[in-house]
Amino acid sequence: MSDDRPFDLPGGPESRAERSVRDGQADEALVNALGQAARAVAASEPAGPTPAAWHRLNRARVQPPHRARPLIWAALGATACASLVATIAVVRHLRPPALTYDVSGGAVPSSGQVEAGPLGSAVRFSDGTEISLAANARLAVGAAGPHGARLRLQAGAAHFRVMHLPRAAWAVEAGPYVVEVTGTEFDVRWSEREQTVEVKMVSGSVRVSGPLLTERVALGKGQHLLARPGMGDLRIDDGRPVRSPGNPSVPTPAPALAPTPAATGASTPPAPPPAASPAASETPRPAAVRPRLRRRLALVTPGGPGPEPRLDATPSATDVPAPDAASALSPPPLARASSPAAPKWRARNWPARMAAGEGSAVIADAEWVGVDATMHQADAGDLSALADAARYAGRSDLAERAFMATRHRFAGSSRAHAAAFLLGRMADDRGDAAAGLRWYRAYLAEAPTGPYAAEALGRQMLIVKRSLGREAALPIAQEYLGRFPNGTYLLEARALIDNR
Amino acid sequence: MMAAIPLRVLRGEVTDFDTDEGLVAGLRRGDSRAELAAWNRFSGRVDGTLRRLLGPGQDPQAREDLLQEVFIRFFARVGTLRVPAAVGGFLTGITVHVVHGELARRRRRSWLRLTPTGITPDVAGPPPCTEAREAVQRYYQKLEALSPKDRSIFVARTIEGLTLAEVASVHGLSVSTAQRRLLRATKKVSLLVRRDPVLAGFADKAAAAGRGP
Repeated sequence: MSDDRPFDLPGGPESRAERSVRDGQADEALVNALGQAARAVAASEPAGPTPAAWHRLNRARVQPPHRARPLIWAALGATACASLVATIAVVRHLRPPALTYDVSGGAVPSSGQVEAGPLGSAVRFSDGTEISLAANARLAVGAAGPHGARLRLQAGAAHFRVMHLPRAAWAVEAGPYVVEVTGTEFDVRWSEREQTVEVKMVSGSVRVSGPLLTERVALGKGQHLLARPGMGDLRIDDGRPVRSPGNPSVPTPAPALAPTPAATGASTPPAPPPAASPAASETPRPAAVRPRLRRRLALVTPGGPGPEPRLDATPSATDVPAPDAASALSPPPLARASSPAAPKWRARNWPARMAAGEGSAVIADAEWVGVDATMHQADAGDLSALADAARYAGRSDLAERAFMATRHRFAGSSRAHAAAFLLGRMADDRGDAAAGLRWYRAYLAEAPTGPYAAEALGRQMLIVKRSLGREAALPIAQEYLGRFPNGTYLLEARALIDNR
Repeated sequence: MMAAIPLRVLRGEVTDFDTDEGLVAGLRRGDSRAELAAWNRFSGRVDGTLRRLLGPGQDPQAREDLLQEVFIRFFARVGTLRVPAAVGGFLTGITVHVVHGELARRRRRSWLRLTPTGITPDVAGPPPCTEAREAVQRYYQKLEALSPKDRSIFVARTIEGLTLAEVASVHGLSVSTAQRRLLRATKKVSLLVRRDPVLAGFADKAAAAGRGP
């Protein structure tokens, strides 16, 4: 922050703040001119106090200080007290009572605790909200207010049907995750032993926050979230089994979220020749892992769309062409270091230290262990925590190394996908639009429904608009509006479409 | 032969109040000469700061009262000054505080329909004779739309020229909070200025000329 100017404007992504920066500069020029005039006028007046002022000051110092008339303050105080009392009375009168609930088919061992029996149990709230607990599930009901309650699923599965009422505010905690609800129907499962959280949407939408999510993620109708925070795994998909017409046991390829050559004017890089994959004959996996499998199977689909980057867990060097100007559609190159058998890494619990706000201690620990050794040996959780710590500390070089190591060593994991987005955002924020664009596209290709998909597509749209013009960005804007009609880049996308 | 008069060396007192260290040391001892030296050295500067913070057209007697208030607080609190070299900034901080309190008091009184003395004030004097003076007077009127604290932050930064860190320190805020409030005030003031054709025209002319009047 510079003090050369009368005041400073905050920094921020230029793409999102162009207009506000321009307005801010105009405001700055305006108040500068008027401030200068004010100083000149003040300077033109006769300056300095008269000598008599010093003597008056000395007299004032020996006189008792002037006290405000107590009567006025007493009247003011009485009025304020009366207003406060009246306000409290009105609020208490108008405020609806807190919700109550009944439990059937289960035990209530203590206040707020519900334990389902072997046949499950039902909890019904006074606003009509219903919760069906699966067998032996445990639920804690806390902080019930007039418009909702904070619930904690301590074990097992439960089906929630929350009434959509004005100002409804419900929160369901499951393990380290919180599901915020205003009115919808969904299932939640929490297994402490497996450290697994599942959220399945039936209707409406919820917002989920917790580990591996840097911001709240909205889940819509039919979507499914599966999180294993201990393993660094988080997946979100549409939850619907999709079968190939020819072979019901094989899921059909997912529609390619392909980069749009028309949008960029760049050519699609050649793809490696399709390789037979044993996955083609695998029994379909559970719905939670299906998107990744579908992407892998897309490579062996006969007559399928031609060049498509390979996105499975073991990308080859050809997946990542050199970052020349013509390869804007491809992700930046991965560091392909040789990977000798790495010594066993003793977990250093960096994620917990990050959660405790000890980012600098994480960096110091990594440097004590040795940055090279950390990059080659650290487990996914520690590596990811180190990248975050470095990012927050402004150590972008270290953050990039950690992200690249994550992508190289844990390719195909959700952490590796997230690393692509975060690498893109770092490049974008430092003004390297080409690298930012490649990383965003890499992320969208790897995790088209990932938690950063909306942000990556929105940022991609803005980069293309800046570098290649409105026409080129138009298809991306249309895609954005179609996929994220309530996204944060909604206005920019609409402006692009409306002003073409 | 005259008898030799023995000479004695008298231990002198520190009388050098020209340096910050000497002045602050004297003030801490309660030396009245140090107080006079402080007055001579700083009263003009504080008066200028008061003019800029309050704006033109202020009653000189009211401004002198504020000047006295500033020095009374300064003499009372100089013992808390840790770095003598920062005495100027210390005094500026007290001045900003006093003006902030005064403006808040005026606002309360206007809300209660009271004048500072309880007497209906005289009609304001003749309007300023120059375009700049009139524009500046209108500008300060626009600043009344800000809360006392926002106005204090805004004026301290854009007119008094304090650094952002000094503004934050004087107002007991973090730099980021001070900056946020400054930006908010700037947006509001700019909007009000642009709605005033006279003021907007003057500001555009001044900005185009790259200098004040």
